[in-house]
Amino acid sequence: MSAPEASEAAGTTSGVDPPEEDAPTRQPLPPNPLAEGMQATRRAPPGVLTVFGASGDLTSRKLLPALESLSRRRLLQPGFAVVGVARTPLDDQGFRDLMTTAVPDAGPAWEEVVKHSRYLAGEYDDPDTFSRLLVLLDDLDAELGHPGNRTFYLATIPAMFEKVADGLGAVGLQRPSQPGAAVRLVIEKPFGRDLDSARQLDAALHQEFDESQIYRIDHYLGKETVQNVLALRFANAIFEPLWNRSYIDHVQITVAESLGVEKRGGFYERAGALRDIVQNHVMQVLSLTLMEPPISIDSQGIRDEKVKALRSVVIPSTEQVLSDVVRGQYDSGWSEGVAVPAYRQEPDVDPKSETETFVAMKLTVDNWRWAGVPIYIRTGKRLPKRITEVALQFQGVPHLAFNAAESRDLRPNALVLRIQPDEGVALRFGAKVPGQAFKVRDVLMDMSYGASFLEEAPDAYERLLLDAMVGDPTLFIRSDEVDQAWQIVDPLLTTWEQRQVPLAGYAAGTWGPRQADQLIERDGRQWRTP
Amino acid sequence: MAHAVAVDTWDAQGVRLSDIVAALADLRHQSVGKNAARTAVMTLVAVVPADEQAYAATRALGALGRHHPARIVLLRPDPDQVATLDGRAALYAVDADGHQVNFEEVTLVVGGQAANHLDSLVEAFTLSDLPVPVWYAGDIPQPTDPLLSVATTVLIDSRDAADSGQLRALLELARRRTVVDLSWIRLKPWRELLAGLFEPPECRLWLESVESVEVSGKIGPRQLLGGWLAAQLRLMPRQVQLVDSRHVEVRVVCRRDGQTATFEVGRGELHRTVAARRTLPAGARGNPPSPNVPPPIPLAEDPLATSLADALTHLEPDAIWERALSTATSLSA
Repeated sequence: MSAPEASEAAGTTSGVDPPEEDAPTRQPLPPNPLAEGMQATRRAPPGVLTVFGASGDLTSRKLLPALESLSRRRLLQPGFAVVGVARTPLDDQGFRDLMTTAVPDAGPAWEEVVKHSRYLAGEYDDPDTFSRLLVLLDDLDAELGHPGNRTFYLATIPAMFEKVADGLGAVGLQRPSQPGAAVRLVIEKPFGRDLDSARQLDAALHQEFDESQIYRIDHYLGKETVQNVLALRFANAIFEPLWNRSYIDHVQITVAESLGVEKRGGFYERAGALRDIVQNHVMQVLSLTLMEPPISIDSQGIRDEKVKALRSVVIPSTEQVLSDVVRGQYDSGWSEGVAVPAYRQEPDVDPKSETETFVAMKLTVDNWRWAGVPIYIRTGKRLPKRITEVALQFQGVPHLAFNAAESRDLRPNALVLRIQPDEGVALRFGAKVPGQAFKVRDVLMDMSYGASFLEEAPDAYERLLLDAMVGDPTLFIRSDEVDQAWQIVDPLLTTWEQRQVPLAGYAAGTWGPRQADQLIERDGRQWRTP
Repeated sequence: MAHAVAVDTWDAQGVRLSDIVAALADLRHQSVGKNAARTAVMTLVAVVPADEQAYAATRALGALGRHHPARIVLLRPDPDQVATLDGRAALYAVDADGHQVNFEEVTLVVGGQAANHLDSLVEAFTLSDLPVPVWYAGDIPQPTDPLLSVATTVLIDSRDAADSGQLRALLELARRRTVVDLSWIRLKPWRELLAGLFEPPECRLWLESVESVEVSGKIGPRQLLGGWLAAQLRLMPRQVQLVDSRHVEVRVVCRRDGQTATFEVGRGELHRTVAARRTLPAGARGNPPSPNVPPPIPLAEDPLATSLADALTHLEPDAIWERALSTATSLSA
């Protein structure tokens, strides 16, 4: 490259003319022929990402590394900037230091992002915070030449969602500042504590933002393997014909964690397994499993079908909650070779806590495809291993030609979608054992995504952040999805509270309380051992 | 992810093809039950005629297991040697997220006339139903090469084109087969950065006033980039100046209303980076504010392996490349 002459910095910082009647920017933009053929890569449009809760754990642990990865993959436009907002007193340089230390091995592109980034300290219920934010964002747009695209990410505690949305609305930041610009609001789960509070939150957000501007994140949907449920079902002709009540006996969804509540005792006390896992992660996986084929793999096509699937789930009555749901809490026990305390002995947990750390339940579905196929769901902490999977248990053959001794080890076929860890698909089927006798036994055909696609998949937050900035809401949860999921879960909360349903204890490191086994065994079935 | 390591090997000289096939079957059989997954998404055939190319190609192929589990068939043809067939079969393992993944590599050293009929040797090793990209590491193949009949995609490196005649041969090949050019992939940072310089709406307008472009570099890259710019910007050949140089640099000069702007992409200040630079006339109407220059792009540590892995991810025709190549043949080197 030639030696610096009149560099851009020298040539342009004073070179911004005021708009004129015939200003070039008002003309239709001619295409960039040099970019032809490169459009296949999705890039975030020029803009600013404002993170509320910028000094918090989520920002340092997830958001900043995800942004750095996007910058390294050149998926952020030049001049991309982050504005951090939080109550912590910091200045611009302090925030830039935080951005740098959060990603120790960052590439050179991250330095550019850090260089442009700014920080604003303020209370979320102070109108002045938002007035100053408005000025800062306008200044940044002018300084960096951005067209006004703004994404607001609420990495705060849920209690702040309404305040931040109100504050943004009060100064007009919920609307684009320039024609053609986009303004989006990203919020993290949980979306409410129950159906009523979820609806209140929704109404409050909609006071300021249109639904099309709101991106509700459940990071599960950013996982490649969750998206692979769609690929497996709708890109392969061999599975879909079997994906119904004619062939499937029942479905089991397991979301198991081997860890306890660690340092999140305070949070978990208010949440519990039902709110923390079932209302969001499980309902998302369930809807992807049950949904009908969408017209197209786009945001409306997929989300319409997901909502339809959730609407077909029978909302449990009080009697069904009492008979078909088990809530449990772990006692002390052994986990991964280590003696671990009971939930009530964990830090920041009430010694008389009634919070559930385990839920097992049976749901039914009223639609053409799934009528009569029970869905068994099991989630909990301090279970033997960390695993998330969906297992479709097929019906047995109508007539088994082998005698009992020959087929003792044969079970009905099962198709297992492993979501984490060791993502993949496994098919269990019968095969003859080599030898003179005609014995048949289960074998497992096991496909691991990691071994078949050695390319590194983007982290869930990386994927979802880019989607939000690009404006693709496919992997975000729509308002009616949240509402429908709460409608299914809310009767459990209500019944547990009104009837004071007792907790079933289970030893840490086991697959849950005995009552959970009884729940499925009374139907003549058994939990899988994942 | 770890580099692929050889788990087991077999080799012999002066053998029949069936011996190598049997040895490969033995190696595969031995891998069963070792708690390793065998997986492949393609059969990659690599033609490596000369010793000096063999080392680089083998190294690139070794790194490939990290990206694309493939059965690799390495061909060393030498028609001037006595008619003979030497073979080596190796079972490799690579760690993928805690899984040991096995794949095979077969090397055939082919002497005599059989070296002109490699297609007859390769098909014994191709995996059914999977793509068979054929990588010519070193030479641009003749369009009549029989091996092309087994290729679902042809991988070449236009850097190996010594003159316009070879570029025309390559163009002819591209009209018959799907061709992926590793050089084109390696030049992506230059192309991306240059395109990025014109992304701000105000800069886009300068594209309508391109006066000249200058491309420096070795013959292959400079011809290709020159062809790309001429084709995409609809320039006359006289507007494109190609300069012999060790490093690739591109300079686009635009003139409008008596003012000149230059857009450049070349080596960055940081080691092994490509950087963009924009020089606009001071005070020109519509200049974008600083600093919307795309950030420097780090170059791959192992450009051959990286471009090969990238090529195998995109085994489809590239109309922009074909247009660039077509136009490049009309430019004087």
